[in-house]
Amino acid sequence: MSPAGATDLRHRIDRLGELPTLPHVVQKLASTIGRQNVSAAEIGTLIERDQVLSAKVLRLANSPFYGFPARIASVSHAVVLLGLNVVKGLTLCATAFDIMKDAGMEQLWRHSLGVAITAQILGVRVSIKNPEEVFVAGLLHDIGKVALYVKWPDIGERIQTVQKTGDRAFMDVEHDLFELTHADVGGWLADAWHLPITLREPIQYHHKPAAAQEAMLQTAIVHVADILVKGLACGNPGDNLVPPLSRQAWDLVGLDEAALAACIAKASDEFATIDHYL
Amino acid sequence: MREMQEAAMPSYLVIWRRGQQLQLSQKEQVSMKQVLIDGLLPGMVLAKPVTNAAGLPVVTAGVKLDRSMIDRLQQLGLPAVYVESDAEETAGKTLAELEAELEHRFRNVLQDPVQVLILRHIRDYLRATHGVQGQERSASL
Repeated sequence: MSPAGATDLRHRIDRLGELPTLPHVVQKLASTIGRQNVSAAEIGTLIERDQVLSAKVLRLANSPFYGFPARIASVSHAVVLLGLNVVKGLTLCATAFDIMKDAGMEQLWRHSLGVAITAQILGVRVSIKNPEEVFVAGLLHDIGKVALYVKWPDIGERIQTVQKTGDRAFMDVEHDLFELTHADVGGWLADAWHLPITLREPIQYHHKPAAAQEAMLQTAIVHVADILVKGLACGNPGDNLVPPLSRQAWDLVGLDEAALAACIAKASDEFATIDHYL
Repeated sequence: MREMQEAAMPSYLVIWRRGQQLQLSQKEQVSMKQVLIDGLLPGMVLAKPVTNAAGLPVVTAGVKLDRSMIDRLQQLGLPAVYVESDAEETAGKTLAELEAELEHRFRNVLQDPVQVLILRHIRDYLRATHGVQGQERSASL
């Protein structure tokens, strides 16, 4: 226990100026997710202004995951074919990848993409309105870890040192040292980035889904997806322990045995395509 | 030169080409992790060359470390080196090893019957993809 450490970290995070920033385009896109009054053309133009981002979005749009027979050649074309939310998701995907790759956290990226893919599979199964949204939520659910490690490497180092000596879950060590976890930090980031609540709650509550107030189903889906992906060992988010499951979230997602088996098989098949995203 | 060639291309081809180049340059990068000198183990593969104080390479990237090499690296007084990370760590593992790792990952949550159910279905899937019929139930669960 180190209450001094907790105060220190809170103090640092409270100064929002220290939070990692998102590129302007991406921040603008993120804030429009789920909003109806944004035109496809507007988004297409916004992304196309950034050449590098456009190229990445197109590569993802053309990955086997989406399975379009013809090559998608422009962002506007991708918006028409895949829909606005998918393209927004892909843009965030490309950005999250850059952030994690720059931080040398490729295994965390792999885990995050695994959770994104699995959350989308679960989302489709429970007929959620926007399966793309849970994809993005899955992608960003551990973004707080990136902040902890990149922005405050000394804090990351302390957590790792303790975690290694005790074979304990990452989250427990975070909590012992700082009285908060990467999920709390992620929630703060989501706030600072003006992400909609359907993204913020799954990020903030992916380890305690019962705390979600509005995006209960999305949060439950990301929580269950995180457990399945840890079980399947796709990537490594820091420790290799499967976290505890919330029964309430499990019931909300409502998988029976056959559906569970189908989801495991489908998710594993799709993990094989992850290298196309990298 | 490249810009000139690209200028003559339709725009979608330019974007495609850049995408391909991006992909190539990223594929070339081996996924790696930094390991403290004291944490090096025989069998790890260097992901970046190790250079001496003058900047000359002492050990090249791609070399598999053995005990004597690790001893020599420790004598150089470096804090840490880059080794290839085990992104493809399932490659080359036996089904028994994969199953043992699977149970190890679930070790803290086996009191929850739903987690046991998840574990069993993942194990069935592993067995099925390794050509073993998945319906068999382990005596321990």
